[in-house]
Amino acid sequence: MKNESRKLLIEYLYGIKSKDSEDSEFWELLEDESVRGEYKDITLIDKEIANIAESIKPSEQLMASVFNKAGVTISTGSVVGTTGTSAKLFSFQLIPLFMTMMLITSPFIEVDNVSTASKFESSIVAESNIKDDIGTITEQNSSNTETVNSIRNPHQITKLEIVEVHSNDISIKYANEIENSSDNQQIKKNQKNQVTLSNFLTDNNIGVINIPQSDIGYKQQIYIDEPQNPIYSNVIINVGAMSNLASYNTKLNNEYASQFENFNIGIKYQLLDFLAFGIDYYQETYFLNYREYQGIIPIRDIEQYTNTSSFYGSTIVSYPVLDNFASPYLKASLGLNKFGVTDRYSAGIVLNLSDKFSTYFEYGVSNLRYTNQNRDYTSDRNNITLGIQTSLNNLGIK
Amino acid sequence: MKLGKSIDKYTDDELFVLINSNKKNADIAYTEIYHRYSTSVYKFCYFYLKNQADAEDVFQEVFVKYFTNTDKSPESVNIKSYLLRSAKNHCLNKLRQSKIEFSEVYENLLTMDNDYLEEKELKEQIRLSIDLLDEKYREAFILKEIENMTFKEVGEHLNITLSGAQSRVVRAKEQLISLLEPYLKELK
Repeated sequence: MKNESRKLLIEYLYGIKSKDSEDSEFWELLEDESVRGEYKDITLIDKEIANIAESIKPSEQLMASVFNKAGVTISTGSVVGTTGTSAKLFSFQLIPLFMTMMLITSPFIEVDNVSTASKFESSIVAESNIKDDIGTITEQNSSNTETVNSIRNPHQITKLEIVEVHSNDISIKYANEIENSSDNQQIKKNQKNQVTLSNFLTDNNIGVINIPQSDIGYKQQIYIDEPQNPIYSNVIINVGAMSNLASYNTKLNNEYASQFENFNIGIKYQLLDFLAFGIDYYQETYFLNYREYQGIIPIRDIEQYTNTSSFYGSTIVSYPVLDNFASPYLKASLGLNKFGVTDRYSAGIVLNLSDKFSTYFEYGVSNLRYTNQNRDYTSDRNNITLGIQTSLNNLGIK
Repeated sequence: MKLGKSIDKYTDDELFVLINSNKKNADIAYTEIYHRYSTSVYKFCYFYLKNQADAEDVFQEVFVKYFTNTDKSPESVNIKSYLLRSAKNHCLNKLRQSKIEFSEVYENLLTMDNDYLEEKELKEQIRLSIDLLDEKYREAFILKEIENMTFKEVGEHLNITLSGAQSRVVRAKEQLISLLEPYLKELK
């Protein structure tokens, strides 16, 4: 075959010359049998070269050797950084491979506690070689340093990755193998300063934790709540001890102090963040007062107390403050007992002292009108209640 | 919602900035660079040196030098280009050290008897033939065929014009076909 034809053929095959144009010599060239043979040879050679190129790769051992000699740690964890001109850069490193975690007293699992066994055994695929730390985010050249050193996670997260850190945001991306478990996850900050984002995960499993600017620079704990039925998390059980304060219409306080210690137990449903409805059972002491007058002069004054059981239905309006640590509330209740109908108004505050339990302190006033033997008794009481409350899922009902 | 991007989405410029930050970031960036370009560098060394052991030596030298050289010049921002240039320099040094002449390989090929040639796979023949290409054509050919560069990229890498790059690759291919012609005839 002529060298000129060969060159031409190669140029056509490389696309240097277009074989699609009408005046293309390519098809004319192929009429020559020797060129057609060469065309087949070149095609064969090209195919083999592609195979060769594909098959030649450095081995894993070579990679290990390179990194070892260079003193570089093989690390495929995500680098997270800011956008824009500030070009803050972060690195995030996670535990290298499957990490087994142990259930602790809470329904959460501390990733830090590397241990075996438990029915909540979870594993994390993380990408780093730091074994004692789930992840560290460091921001270069800035005092805004975020450290994520503990991620609690009760279910199987197969991949967890800090995607991006901004001055007040951390984006977390994770994939979960448990079906449907990626719905309604919550990520909270540390216990004292919780940030809860419901439904934070988008379809691509990326969530954002907003960290107030004031918290930048402090260690943050991030944990993911166990998947739970929202109904159970919104049903709250409360138990309280009530003490009646000195009442202006009774003189019995001091003499029968032991009778003044009452209690209540109740259940409420948190319909909205600020609105709940509840039912309570009270064991309480009523101070009934009857005063009979002649003109303006009281001629008969009857005071008596009685213990009774009451059932109340309540509406509670609350407002969380101090980053959900405290929730002041107002409560209006209508009750029923052997004397008839009574109403009760109270104001209180719920303090979230731990992950599971909250304590509440309440001041209430209640009024009762009771008629017996044509005598109208009144009972105007005020009392304080101290109690604890928790949701059903904190009691193990998921 | 702000979405982050994973490390494999970082540009060379961004990786270069990472390298010059702290060690954790640098390690992550180096790992990504390795994953991104190691195969290219390895293939280049492999075809340039004709010897797997030498190729591995040079390959290691290139990456170790890149990873340990803390004072990287701005030109190294184009990481692939930088690594390939570095690989070429190391390959040339290696060739000088081992004093391998192309003629030796060519001699070997010429002295092979027909039976041996038939036994050899086409792949091996091609590899040997690539080794025998003229130096200036061979490099362009490797960049084009093995590294899958465009002609434009080949030209930029070799500091030659587009037509110069095309010319070199075409000449290399012509040479390659000529070298393989006897074998292909035998094959038929």
